[in-house]
Amino acid sequence: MKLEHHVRVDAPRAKVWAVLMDLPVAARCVPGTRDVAPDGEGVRGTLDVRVGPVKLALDGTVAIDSRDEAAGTVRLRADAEDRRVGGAVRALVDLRLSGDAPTDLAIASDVAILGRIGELGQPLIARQADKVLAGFAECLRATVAGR
Amino acid sequence: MRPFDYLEPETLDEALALLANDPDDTLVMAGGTSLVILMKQDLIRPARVLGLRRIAELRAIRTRGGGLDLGALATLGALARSPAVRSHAAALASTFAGVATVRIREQATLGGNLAHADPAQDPPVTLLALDGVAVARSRFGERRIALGALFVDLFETSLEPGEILLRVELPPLPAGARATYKKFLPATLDDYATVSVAAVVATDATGACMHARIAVGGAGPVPLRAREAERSLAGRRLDDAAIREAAALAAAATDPIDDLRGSAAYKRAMAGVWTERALREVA
Amino acid sequence: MSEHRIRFTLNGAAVDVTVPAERLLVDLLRDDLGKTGTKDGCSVGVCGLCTVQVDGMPMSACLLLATQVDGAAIRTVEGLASPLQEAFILEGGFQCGICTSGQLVAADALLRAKPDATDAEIADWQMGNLCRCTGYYGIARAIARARDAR
Repeated sequence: MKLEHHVRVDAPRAKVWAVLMDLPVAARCVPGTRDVAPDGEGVRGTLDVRVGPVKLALDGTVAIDSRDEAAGTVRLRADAEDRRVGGAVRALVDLRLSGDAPTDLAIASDVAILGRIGELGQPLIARQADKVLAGFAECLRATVAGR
Repeated sequence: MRPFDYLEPETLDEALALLANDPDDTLVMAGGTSLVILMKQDLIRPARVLGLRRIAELRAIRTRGGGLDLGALATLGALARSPAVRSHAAALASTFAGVATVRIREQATLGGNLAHADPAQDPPVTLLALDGVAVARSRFGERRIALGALFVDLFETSLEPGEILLRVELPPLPAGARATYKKFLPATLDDYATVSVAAVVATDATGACMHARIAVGGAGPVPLRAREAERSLAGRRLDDAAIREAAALAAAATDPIDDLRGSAAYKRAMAGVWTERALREVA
Repeated sequence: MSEHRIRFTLNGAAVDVTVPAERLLVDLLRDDLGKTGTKDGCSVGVCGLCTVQVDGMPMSACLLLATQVDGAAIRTVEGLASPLQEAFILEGGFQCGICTSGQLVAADALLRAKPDATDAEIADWQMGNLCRCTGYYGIARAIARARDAR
């Protein structure tokens, strides 16, 4: 499923970029994450998210797939699975910066659900994914503003 | 199915104490129609299940002045057949009678239905339009929760861990109030509604509307009250124009989800159509 | 993990067994008590193959924990003695037979609760028992025939 979010940050573009490149900080901005630690060039951690009556604990990694500082774009790849429930989430998140103080951040996510988790139904999953990403966007904004 | 510990307390106090021991890993079970399926699919794996079936006081259906108290463990079937429910509002009895199949209605309960919080379910819609208030208790005390505040999101209520729903209280209806519940089922009769509408109105001697409640199911993450639509009817005669305007406002208030039962646009349009039909019926 | 002693009647006879908490009624009936007339079809309470009577009313045995029937009177297809069964034969109410147990148990419950059930009430009540073979007319005629025979 494809989801889009936008956020306006009252900060210079360079500052926003720096936060995006700091993966441990960016990863902690996803609501519900814990145990975030560096993992090679990326990070690993666990995302606790409730989808209806089902509690998921998604263990996985986030890495930078590609980046272009001049263009202000970065693609993150997230891979996580919940071995208990039996399922996985794969997401490609394209972040694009435009403007400079204020800086606009556009987040285009492509989320794939694999395995058992899919049984929860597309509408419910989409809703939770949307909430998580919206929280991520807002947290990034606040994090940058706070620096 | 994965093994678990099953507890069947005899009293409410016992249930609340047991629940308080480990509220996050103890599943409260009423009829079990939703929970057993989730457990069979291994999507939820509680360490323990607390069954409420022995707590007789939770089953009670009783009138209170002109109002009605519906116990959380009352089955949908018992509620559909209850003369007290029918006297309060025939539309409420028919709402319960229209849920799924006879087998589900004999097992599923009011409390389980509310706690499951699927916005396409029938009972919450009519109960919202009847100004229902849920009463919940934990070891720490009791809470009254207007149904509008109980449903927070898709499959999510504002119940805290450790809380058990006791009953739903319905206040007396205004004199002469008329109620209806309309369930739009384009597929099979045992399905959830694509959209549904409950409408309750009362008019004064001149025919002006003095009480209006419009609730819509299946058209958002929670069953919702179309408050602007309700306000548009205040003091007005329920003529064609007023009804059409209210129906349009009700449709605009929806925030439907695209799913197997219809696209968001379709559900929004149908919310308008069925609000109009409901209002014509009670006008 | 926990085990529970449950006592209930099955087709009028007393049953006293100990079951693990997670034992489903359909499995208890079929595997432990030899009542294989009750079938496990969709496993989610929709198809009606697992219909049993609990205190006279139809329920899905695949959705009930065995512990939930402690103290109840259970009736399966093996415990029916009703004009329904002959009516189903005479009206062509079954072909492969897989839904038949459930159809009979549900219809028997209806005619006990409402001996004068109208054709519409029969259709509404039986709605939850799916049939892939007959197209339902034979089933509806059979139940109406049994109703009229009273």
